[in-house]
Amino acid sequence: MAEVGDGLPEQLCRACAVAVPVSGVGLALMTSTGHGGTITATDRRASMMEDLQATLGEGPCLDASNDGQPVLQSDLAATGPARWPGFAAAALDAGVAAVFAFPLQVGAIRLGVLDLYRDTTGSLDRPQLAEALAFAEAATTILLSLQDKATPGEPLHPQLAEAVESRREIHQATGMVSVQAGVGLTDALLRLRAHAFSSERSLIEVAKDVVDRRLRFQPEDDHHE
Amino acid sequence: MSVTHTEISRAPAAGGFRDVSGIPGTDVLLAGGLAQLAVELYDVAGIDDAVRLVLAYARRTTTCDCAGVVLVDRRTGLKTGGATDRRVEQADQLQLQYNEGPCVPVSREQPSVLVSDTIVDPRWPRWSPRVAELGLRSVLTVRLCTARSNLGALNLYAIHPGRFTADDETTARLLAQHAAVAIATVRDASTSAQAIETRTLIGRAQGVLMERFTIDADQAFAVLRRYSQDNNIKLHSVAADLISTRRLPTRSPVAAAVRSPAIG
Repeated sequence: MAEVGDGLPEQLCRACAVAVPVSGVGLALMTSTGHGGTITATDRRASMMEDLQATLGEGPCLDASNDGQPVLQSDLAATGPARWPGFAAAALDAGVAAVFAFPLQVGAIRLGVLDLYRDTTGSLDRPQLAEALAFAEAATTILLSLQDKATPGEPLHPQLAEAVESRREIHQATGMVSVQAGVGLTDALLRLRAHAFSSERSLIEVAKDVVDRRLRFQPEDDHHE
Repeated sequence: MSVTHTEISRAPAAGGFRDVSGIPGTDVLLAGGLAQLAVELYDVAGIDDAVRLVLAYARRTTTCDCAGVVLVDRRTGLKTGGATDRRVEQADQLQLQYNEGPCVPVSREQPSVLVSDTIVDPRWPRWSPRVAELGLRSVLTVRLCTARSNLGALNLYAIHPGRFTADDETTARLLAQHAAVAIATVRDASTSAQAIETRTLIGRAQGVLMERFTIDADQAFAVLRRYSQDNNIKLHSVAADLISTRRLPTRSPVAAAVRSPAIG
């Protein structure tokens, strides 16, 4: 196998976008609790799409990871709004017309997802699908190779740790809101998401406000300050 | 890709390779067995599952009566990873206890070690007689390693002396190569998944403490870590407990930690 090092996730996403081809590609970590942080994205819009799914807790990448199979949405305008009301509306606004999400798993262990975004509608033909699956397989190998190169004593490779750490305040804010509002962690995260969505901000921005005590959530109702 | 492998695993083609031990023409059967191993790996949820699968394949593709896996632990050295029965568990455990036995050279440099009869083999004076007492006379140990990491060893045992031949050694080494890749893959995947889950959990526990005691994230982390150290409980478990019970167990160091200037 070729030497695996920093920058490989970026190279893989760029190569995937050119080969399939699609407009943009995002690579994200996934956990049983949802989006685990974006490792890399080829462009601003792909990065935005990853943040959006992390913020809303809905979208093709979450379904692909949960179901353990690819989600192929060749016409987001036709089928997306019923399935993911929040994500589809924002993605269509941003000019995304089709989304193809591929889960990265080893056995029953969820590692991540490779998301392909395209600004035109239409299915992937068989060679394109084969290409995309090959890139997903390669992405899984890259994630594992990064992990294999992690320093003993450090549970995560720095590049994966960075993606995970980028979401640190979301976890902290979830804990804080659960005490503030007297609800469970799942509900606390839902409230954070609802607030982010309704104020058109990202989940991480809202979480940082909570952590820095600029925003509080109250018991009973969904509102804050 | 999980989906493609799920489809393959539904195909009946590789199903005919079970219970092949002792049957001649093992090359073809071994190849089939290894292909099936690769497919079945896609159902595993953790390293224990992977080891179980490897042991099952060792039983099917070699002439061993029983088998065990010893794993290299990044922190503690060698540890038992799994065994097909209790005698093997004991025999493997004795290798770690005495720090002698075929595993020891194998885990360092040799690809494999063959023991024809544990009663007469002079190389491990403490280990061999105990293993013979357990009723295990033949041993074949093969190293489990990938290009990047040394994972441990696969120990094959037989009740009768002189059971393993040079052919068995070749077969076992081939099996070990596939087994090593499989175990390394699953290990890396589960390490990474667990590390991510742990960070989520610790972040949430920090948040609960931050709100409850009006402290910042670093102070909350210091509280968790101090509690973990003082009570010798893993940080992950402290965070999980805090989240599920909404309190640190009674001997709470929170007040002290918050007041302590050392943690400011």
